[in-house]
Amino acid sequence: MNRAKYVFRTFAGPWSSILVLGLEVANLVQRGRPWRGELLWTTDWLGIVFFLAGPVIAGFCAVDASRLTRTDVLPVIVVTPRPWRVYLDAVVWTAGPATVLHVVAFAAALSMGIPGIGASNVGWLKILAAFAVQVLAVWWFAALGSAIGRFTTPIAAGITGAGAALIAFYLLSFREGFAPLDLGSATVTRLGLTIDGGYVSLQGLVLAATTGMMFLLGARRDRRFHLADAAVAVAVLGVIGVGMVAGPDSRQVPDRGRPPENCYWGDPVVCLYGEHQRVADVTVGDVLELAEAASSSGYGFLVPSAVHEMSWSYRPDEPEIRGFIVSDEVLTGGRWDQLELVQMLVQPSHCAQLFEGPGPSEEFYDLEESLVFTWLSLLEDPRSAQLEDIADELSTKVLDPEEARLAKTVIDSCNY
Amino acid sequence: MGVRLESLSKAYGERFTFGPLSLSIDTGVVCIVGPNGAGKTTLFELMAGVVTPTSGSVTVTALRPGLGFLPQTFRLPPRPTCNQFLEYVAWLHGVPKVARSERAQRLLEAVGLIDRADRPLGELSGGMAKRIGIAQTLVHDPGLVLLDEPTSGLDPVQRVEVRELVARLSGQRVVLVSTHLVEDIRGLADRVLVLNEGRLLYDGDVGTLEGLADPDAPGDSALERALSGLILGARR
Repeated sequence: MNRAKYVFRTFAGPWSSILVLGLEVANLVQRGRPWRGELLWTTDWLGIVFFLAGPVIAGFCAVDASRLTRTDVLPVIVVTPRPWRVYLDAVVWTAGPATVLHVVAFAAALSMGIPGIGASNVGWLKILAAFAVQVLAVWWFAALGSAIGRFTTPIAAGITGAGAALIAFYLLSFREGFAPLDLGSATVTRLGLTIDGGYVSLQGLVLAATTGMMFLLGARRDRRFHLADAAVAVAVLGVIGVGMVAGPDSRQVPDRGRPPENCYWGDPVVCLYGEHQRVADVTVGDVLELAEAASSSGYGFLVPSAVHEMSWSYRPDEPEIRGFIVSDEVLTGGRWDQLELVQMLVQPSHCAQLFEGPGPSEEFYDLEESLVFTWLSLLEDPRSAQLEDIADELSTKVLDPEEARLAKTVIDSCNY
Repeated sequence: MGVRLESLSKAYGERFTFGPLSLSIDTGVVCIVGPNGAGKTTLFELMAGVVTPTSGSVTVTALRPGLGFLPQTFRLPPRPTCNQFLEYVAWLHGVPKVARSERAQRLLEAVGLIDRADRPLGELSGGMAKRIGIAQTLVHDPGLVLLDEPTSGLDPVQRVEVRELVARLSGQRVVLVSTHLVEDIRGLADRVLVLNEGRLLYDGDVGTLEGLADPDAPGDSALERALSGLILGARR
């Protein structure tokens, strides 16, 4: 107990956990928690926190390491036969609480996603591996700060440590190919994707090895940069460089392309992934409302027989089945924007040329737009944030049933 | 049982060379004496292993393993209490958890700071800080203790307190005390080593050293005249 009291009265690092706690909470509640229910997206969303938490952890560890790198502070590093222990202790009391907070945040995020989480087809082993990489990143940032802090004064160490962590996060996270610090950071759905086990394994190896190397700098009595320090720096950069050259390209790869498994029988049939069960009521209700409006006005031919939620690896391949992607607005507890939903019901998701190559012609977009505006005009009071922008066109592009049937036949042909 | 130095030397470019020095030190208090720049701190740092020797070796065969080191100047973290500080140093040295609290209490008692056990280090006077500094060198019960100028910067009363403390705590261990104060030598030393410009000028007991006093050398006592005579003679 006295050790903990000593640490809290002497080191700056343990106090960083207050900031990290704030960042974890802010990250969990920001943007309405659209990730709830998706196991992979939940994991990746947690990775966003490192954009700020990484520099905070590194900065505080740098301050502590700098303050320890003096011969005149007791317990000076020279009084112990294990001089690295005091540096390690400073890091442990910074990265340890941050790790605990991140694990608690993960557990809280998972509990918020029940029951959708259970429907995930991404293996738990892969998820745990990806999460373990995030935990390793906590220690990597701490080791980076501790290493940098040994070469400069405390205030400069805090700034340099945090700055270096920020730069490292940018350089080693946002890049094509293997990125050792790609911790997810996803802000859009991850349905249809899975983790590349080899990728996260290599990330784990690179982060663990370089964390250990940065600790190898050992105890010191001055803040000069020695030859051994240069060797360690070269080794760290070497390991990262080899990983970036030889590592796999993508952290996430498409899964087997499973169709949505939870279907709600109506006209049309609406199918969603189990992960998005929580938005089934609002989605089915809003689709049926549109279908009813079309059918009761003589435009029933516009209503597909089924509507399937799409993912990164699945889209319907029949003209009678339309695809949709659940919008952020719905995932965060709102209603569907009817313009967006009608667009998805009209769009022929079975046509490959919509998703690849140069894309369809101008004619396609004209026809699609006319069908969308026609369908919207059948509603008494359409709900859409974009209505003001399209108010003029809405009245001029409405098709009669025969024109609409013809337009639908054309865009369903995938021939444009 | 003690410390053996074999042809120990350290070169700092062309500015200064310590040694080579060979000697054996048994249990008891050994005072290292010499003017500024004599090599006292270098000797301590070589023995503590924080500086790598250019040649030679240090072998410690004390009754107990471990090294306690009090640097010449040091700062204590201001916020932890005396108790927390000693327990933390004990943890750093690998003292088992069950023994840490008892060790800290015993040492605080020994250095006369038990009534300050729960006070922050920042509230200690200079003499008290030296005493807690000495206590931290002993918290893991080491066989070798290096005290670099433990009485420097203290008032006369505090110096007497620290000398008594060192004498009392020396026990069955090798205690090396670096000093340039004659009272320290007379009050503490079982043996005296006189260094000048990295060379050993004298190795023996206090009485024999006093016998070498040069009546023409500066100083108020036989010991001072002996020391100044040795050092001035070496410079000539």
